[in-house]
Amino acid sequence: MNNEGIVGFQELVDNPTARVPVCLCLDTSGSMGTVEGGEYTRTGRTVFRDGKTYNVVTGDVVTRISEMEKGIDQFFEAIKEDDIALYAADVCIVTFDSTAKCMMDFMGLSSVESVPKLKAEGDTVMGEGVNLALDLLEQRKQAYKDAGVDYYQPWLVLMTDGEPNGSAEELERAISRTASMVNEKKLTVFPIGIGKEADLETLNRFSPGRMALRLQGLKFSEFFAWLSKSVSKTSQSTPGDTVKLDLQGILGDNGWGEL
Amino acid sequence: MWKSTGSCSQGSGHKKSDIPCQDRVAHLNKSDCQVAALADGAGSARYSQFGAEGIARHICAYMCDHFDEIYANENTAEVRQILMKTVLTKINEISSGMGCEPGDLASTLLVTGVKNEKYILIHLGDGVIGYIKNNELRVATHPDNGEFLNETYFTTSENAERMMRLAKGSASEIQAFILMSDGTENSLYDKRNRTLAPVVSRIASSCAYCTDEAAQKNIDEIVRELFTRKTTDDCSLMIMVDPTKYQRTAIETGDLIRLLGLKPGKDAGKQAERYSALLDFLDTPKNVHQLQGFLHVKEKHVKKRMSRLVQKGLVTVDSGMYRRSK
Repeated sequence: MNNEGIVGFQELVDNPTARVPVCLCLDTSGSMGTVEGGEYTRTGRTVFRDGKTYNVVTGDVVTRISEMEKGIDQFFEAIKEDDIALYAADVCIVTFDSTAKCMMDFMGLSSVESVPKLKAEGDTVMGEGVNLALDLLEQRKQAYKDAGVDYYQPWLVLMTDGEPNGSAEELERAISRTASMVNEKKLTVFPIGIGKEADLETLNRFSPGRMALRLQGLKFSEFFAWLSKSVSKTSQSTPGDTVKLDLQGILGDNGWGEL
Repeated sequence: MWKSTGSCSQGSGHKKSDIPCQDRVAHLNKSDCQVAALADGAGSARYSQFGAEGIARHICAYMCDHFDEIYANENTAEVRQILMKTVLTKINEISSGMGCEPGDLASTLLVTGVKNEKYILIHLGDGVIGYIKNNELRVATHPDNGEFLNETYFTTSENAERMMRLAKGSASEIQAFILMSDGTENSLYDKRNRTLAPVVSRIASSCAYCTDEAAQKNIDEIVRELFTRKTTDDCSLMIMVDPTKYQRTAIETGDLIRLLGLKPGKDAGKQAERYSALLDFLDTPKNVHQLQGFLHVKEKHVKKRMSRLVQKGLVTVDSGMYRRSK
């Protein structure tokens, strides 16, 4: 009892920590299995996946998806090391290949032991993936409201290395929903193109007001390190605070604004 | 006679980034009117502590001068307009003097004023205004945050006039008003149930029972030592009480144990009861000999007990006469 007995610390209310909901909406189509490094030998075989023909290799390879998984793992570890961010970050993983799947529903990272194993296969049903992510975000916000938990503006991180080839109608619906939420300041979206083949034109449509960005090389680690720092900063922000999201140096283009 | 006690403390987030505390409290007693205000400077506004300070002081002076006409005006749209006009005029005056933009001085604003047993409440933005009526703790206005936690309305927001909340009525059964910033919400406002922590009643009663100096010391310590442990944000609290309404009820034994810092246990209750009876005896001034007769103890023990009560602000001493604090 610090205050000579007038008030005990245990008599103060114990409100739940305000949450920063982050949904990672990730492309796990066949093209994400593209080898970008490591030691390998060509087998001479080819496969047709996700609209393209690929050479098949064997060996200790570095693929886009393995680097992405490593980046997410580092993101989780960085959040776990930050006491404030650990209780604020509420993370969900949605993947899209030939179908959209929720690989990890929203949860605090203290109870997550490892990143769900991601496998590159199938097509790129991006619209379906984003719609699932938005549905889960809406459900989560409702759960916060029901439980009296404060929350910050949700974040949607959309990562893809190709062009969407799912339902055109679903894609248009996803773009329209995302863009209107961004315009109404109900959502912050980070559309990230991986590699040279990423369809930035489509990604741009998810992000009114600022350009989608291409990740330089395979700088997943740098991106996710930045993301964890930004979650930490946001979780400590107070009304009126402007959280600056400076991505210069991590991404190929500049132009990120403020939350 | 209403009296006010308030305090602000810099949050750990601002300490770390070397930003001053942006919360401010002010109060004024003038023309039979007691007004208390609390303003929480916007994190994004570079001189918000000056805006918060200027506007908290200004609204106290304005309300003391214009309480009757504001109270008599039934047109709330017009009242909002009048209040925002004086707020913005003051902000423009400060910004001109400082050579900054009015937006650099943005803050929330919580105000409570009482005159002739009538009250007016003004609330813009987040934070909470609570009150105690017939010993029951209630919330008058809840935080107004928009959908997301780091959004709220400020004095310089475009929609400030529309978002300003007003209340007025009879204060005859109200014992206390409590104003708190969003940082203090983390300690005293249960967000799930939208209620105030029961301990708020004790904090208010300690302000009523104690001398002004002791009450100020208590509030300063509570805000600085306890509330700032619950958040990284700045914390502020303003309590306005009418001590005359507290004298009608006896001090709870539990309150006395805490107020006097008695060691909890079987004897603490008995000791508190003895102190309670002593306080009742001191409703009229008494000298040491009268107290010796009442307590049946040696003079040095009388002085020891009285010194404890004086130190805690429950009793005042003047020319050797001890009296319960008003």
